[in-house]
Amino acid sequence: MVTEIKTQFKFPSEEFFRALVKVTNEALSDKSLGFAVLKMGFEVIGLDFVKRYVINFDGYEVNYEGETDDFDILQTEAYVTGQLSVYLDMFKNIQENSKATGPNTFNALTMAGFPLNIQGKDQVATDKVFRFAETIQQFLDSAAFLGEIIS
Amino acid sequence: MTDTAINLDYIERAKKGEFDLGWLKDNKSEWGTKPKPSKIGLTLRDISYGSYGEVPDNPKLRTMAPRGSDIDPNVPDMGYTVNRKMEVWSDNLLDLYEEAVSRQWSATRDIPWTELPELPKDIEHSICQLATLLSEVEMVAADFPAKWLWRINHDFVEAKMFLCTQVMDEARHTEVFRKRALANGGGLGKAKAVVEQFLKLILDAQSYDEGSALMHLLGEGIVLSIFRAGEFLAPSDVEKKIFRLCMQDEARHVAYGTMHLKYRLERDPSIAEDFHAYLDRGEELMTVLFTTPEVVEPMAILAAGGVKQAEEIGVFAADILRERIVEEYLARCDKAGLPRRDRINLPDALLNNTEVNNTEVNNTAVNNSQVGN
Repeated sequence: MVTEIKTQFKFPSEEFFRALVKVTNEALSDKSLGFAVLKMGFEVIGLDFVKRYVINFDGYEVNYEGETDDFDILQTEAYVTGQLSVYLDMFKNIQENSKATGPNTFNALTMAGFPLNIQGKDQVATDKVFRFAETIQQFLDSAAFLGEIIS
Repeated sequence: MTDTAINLDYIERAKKGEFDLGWLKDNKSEWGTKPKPSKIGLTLRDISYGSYGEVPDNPKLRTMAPRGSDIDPNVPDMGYTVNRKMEVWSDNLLDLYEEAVSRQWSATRDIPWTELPELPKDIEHSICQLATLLSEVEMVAADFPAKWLWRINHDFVEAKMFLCTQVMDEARHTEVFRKRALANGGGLGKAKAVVEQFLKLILDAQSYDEGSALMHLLGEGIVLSIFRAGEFLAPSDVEKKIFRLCMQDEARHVAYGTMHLKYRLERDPSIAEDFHAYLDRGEELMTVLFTTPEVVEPMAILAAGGVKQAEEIGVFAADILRERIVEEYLARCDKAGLPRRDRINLPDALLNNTEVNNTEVNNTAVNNSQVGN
């Protein structure tokens, strides 16, 4: 049973990622998806800002590593980048359906390199994101346990 | 007396409590050392220390005895033919094995089969044709490792164990796509000779080198991209789940293949040309796959949402997928230390936006490989 956090969250923000990590750890506590080992960045491009956040999938836990100007500083293996509006639409879909549907899944949004794009330090690092596709999707789907997400 | 003969004297001595205890006194193992389990449990990497942790480049014995054990001098020769570590090893093997074991899933339990919606006929046909193709190709990635497993020296047991996980993964992929084809009123579609030709090329490989390059790097790289596309194009959440779970497994196999080739070439760069030759042949057949209607059209129709719409945007979608497949494959070759951007042998028409340096049009691959069409 996941404890919902039904307060409003600004995206992107550290508070949002911290809350997402918290509900994800509860959602994945049965370990049924297996462990994941991946330090992954999320780059959000707004009209007048670029913000970067790092998540560490560390075994059966997910940890928030922090906000950074440079993914390399936090040893990020791969990151996803895209416009703020794409992220907001994705989370809106997740909150409306309790999970991502149709073209709003993480894989669907990144498949063609747009509207979101996965950047690995090399192809093996990019492929590592695919190795944990279901865990990453569950992480994003956990936004369904959060309150309204606004920009 | 040989070791296999019954030692009646020993039975009599043992009855009197006169044990041999030689195994107890002569123990040369890592006695007294206790590895600390990592966060996820006691892993292969955690126990990889001391004499057990040393994986020899060229084992002297051909035995199933564990590394680090006190091995009798007269153990039989098991007849292994893959006896050099660089032929099967990769630096990510131990982690990939643990990951594979941890992330197993069930095609029966973990797919929400009861939620399959009724689909338009052309969409159901397309997903069934794609499922037929995938069910057909996936099992070769079990057959090939299985064919080579018993030939691999037991000192490389982690490589054998990883290949065992791959065999299980591929059995499950074969299962899940057959189930999808048969679960929703569609059924199995066409099986093409050109596909079988590619599978035969892998299965008939004369060496593990050849087969691994064709399967782990080229073939599974293509299938990984198809799985990603399948998730993208899936007509319902049921197929999305199938493709996402398969994608994870396939990416592990590709990670092994890429890093194994890197390990191999770093230790013997002189063999690079052999690998180029294997991939030349594999790419010829890949070209034919890209022009096979049963491979291309189902995804074009799924992308467009129907046969009629596919005439307008289906080809565009197929182009994006093909470019993705080729670019990711070339990037893996780069990572492995076998750059093929100047060498890949695909017609210009199939190379639109990939970062290939070779601008010469080379249609020989297509002309030479019209197999089964």
